[in-house]
Amino acid sequence: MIDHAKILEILEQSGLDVELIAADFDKPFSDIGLDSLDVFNFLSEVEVVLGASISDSDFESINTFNDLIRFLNN
Amino acid sequence: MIGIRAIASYIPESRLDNIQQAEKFGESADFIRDKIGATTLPTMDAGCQASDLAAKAVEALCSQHGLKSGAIDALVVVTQNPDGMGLPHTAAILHHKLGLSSRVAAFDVSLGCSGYVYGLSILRGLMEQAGLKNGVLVTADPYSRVINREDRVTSLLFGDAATATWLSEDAEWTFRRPLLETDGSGHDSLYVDDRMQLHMNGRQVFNFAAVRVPQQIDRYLKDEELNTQDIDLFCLHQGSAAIIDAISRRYQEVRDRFVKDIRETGNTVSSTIPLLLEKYVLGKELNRVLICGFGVGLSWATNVIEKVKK
Repeated sequence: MIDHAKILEILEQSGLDVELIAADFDKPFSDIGLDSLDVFNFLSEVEVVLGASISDSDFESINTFNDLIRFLNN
Repeated sequence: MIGIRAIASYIPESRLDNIQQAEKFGESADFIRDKIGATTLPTMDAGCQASDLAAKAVEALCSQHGLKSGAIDALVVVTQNPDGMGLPHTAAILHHKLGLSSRVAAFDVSLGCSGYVYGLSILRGLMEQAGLKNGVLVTADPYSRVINREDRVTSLLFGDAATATWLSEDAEWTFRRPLLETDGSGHDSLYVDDRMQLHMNGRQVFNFAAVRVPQQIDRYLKDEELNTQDIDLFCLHQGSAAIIDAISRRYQEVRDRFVKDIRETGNTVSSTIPLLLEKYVLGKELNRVLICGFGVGLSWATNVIEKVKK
């Protein structure tokens, strides 16, 4: 089960500013200051750490951290 | 053993201001400086072709390092943006522009960002087989001819440049056997369409590089019975500042040995690695340098160059 704590752990490993983005898991990535390359970077870390594979169509439906958590837990 | 004797380069003087370009796409200057990494992009002049850039790089190699053009007996051009439509091969056009003799083997290699690592071994293998003495490996892949300046994904990344590497016996640097990999299922991640416009799936390419390049480096080091501390410098393809950061993050113990130098050139495709070797390695007090190129194909390749012990 992937939870907020695990996501924060992966965020930290990906070198992103955890404090900035931990505030709201329901806000779109762009609204919490993540640019496209930050998102690519974070999702590649998710794939490495969790062994997950995120297709282009999956990626299009993932706009927030909670979207990602729902995807990973399904 | 045939190795790397010298490298020279040519970077066009014309520049695109990448921060100005970014404004058009609603991107910040910080994004350009910190993530893309290139604040200016060299672009060849209208009417120029790959062979024009290549000729200037080879001429620089000859004038700066004492290679006589009459001594060249192999000429390999790594490009996927050849002169005209690619027929004839750019190496033949370059051969003519340089005024080389007919006793020169000349051909193109169609590879992108992995092309330099491949090219070293292709050329050395040919030279050994055919008994050739002086080979020149050219990289010249001017993406400006296929970039749509309205495309945010590719317009901010790529710059034009050419390099020329002299391979011969009695060189200061030699290289080991390469590790070469391909994933053709990603062939549509980076391609030129029938209108001659470049398209890139940025996430797929980033993900490929961030995940599979470290895996290849780890496997290479294991196969060659080396560890990261044995490597003095890591000269990876400069795809973007963000991708170098993402890869080097996996090597915290030697992270400061990863070169990141893209600010003035952008991603010059197969030229990024030889540009780094020219600037940071040849003539320097280093013994062992890892090189790794990755990109279109998808194709990725790693090798280690080593100073020859006298």
